[in-house]
Amino acid sequence: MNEILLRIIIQHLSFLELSSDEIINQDAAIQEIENICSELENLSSVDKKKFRDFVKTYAEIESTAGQPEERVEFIKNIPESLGLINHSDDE
Amino acid sequence: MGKLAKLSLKLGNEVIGGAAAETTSALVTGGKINAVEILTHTATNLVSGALGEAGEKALKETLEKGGNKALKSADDVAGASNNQVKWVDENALMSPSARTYNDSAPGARSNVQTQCPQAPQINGPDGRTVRFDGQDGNVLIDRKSGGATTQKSVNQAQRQSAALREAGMTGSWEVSNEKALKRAQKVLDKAGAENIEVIVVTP
Repeated sequence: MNEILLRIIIQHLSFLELSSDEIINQDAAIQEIENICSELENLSSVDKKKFRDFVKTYAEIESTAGQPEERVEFIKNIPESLGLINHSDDE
Repeated sequence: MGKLAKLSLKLGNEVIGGAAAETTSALVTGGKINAVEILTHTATNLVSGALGEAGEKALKETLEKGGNKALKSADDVAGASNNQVKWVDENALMSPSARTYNDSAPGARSNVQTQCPQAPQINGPDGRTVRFDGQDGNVLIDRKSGGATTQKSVNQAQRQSAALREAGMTGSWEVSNEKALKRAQKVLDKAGAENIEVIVVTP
């Protein structure tokens, strides 16, 4: 998977989820998160696992770089929050 | 079919005549069309061939003017049980599949003049507005294209729940599959939003 595109997806999701209502309307933000979620559901099991692995690595990099805890926690939980965890994928 | 759609159908049939009933009924299916559109479309079909282009344009303009008054009356009747719902233009660009799913919510409609999809909006107890995708009587409907369970989703459920309670209404989240239903229910449970149900509506 293209890591540049993966980073863009993660950064976009973080912006939508963590920005205040003054920056972006909450309902619009959720709608867009839902749309991204819906598209990512179409990934194959293999690509979902690659996505999860990349998110994990990215969260560690962000943590090491001293990014705010709230942002790091959100990134860590992206696979769970977007329903991209299927335990059978890892088997 | 929502109250407004039913009323629009009745209005279209009574004004235009029984001959247009089938066309009108097909247009109303899914609640995607309003009174003005029914009047305009049906009448245009009926006189097609009988009028020239200029005549057809004049007829459309006349019907739109009259139809807008009729639509306002229809809104007054449909909203009589709850006049806190306001329909507002929602000019949100989204993927075609997401737009189709959202716009097929019961009672969903568009503004005939601006061509914009419209969303039913109510005020929350904090004065902030909360928008949905459709309305079926006293139930406001929110179509969810994914199954996100972020904190913002929980916050949205809490805002919707409070606003619905304030308006004396209930809510319904419509999702596309069973997996999304379980995830949406998790969000609603976490939010304590007991006045919002969740059901599966296949796209």
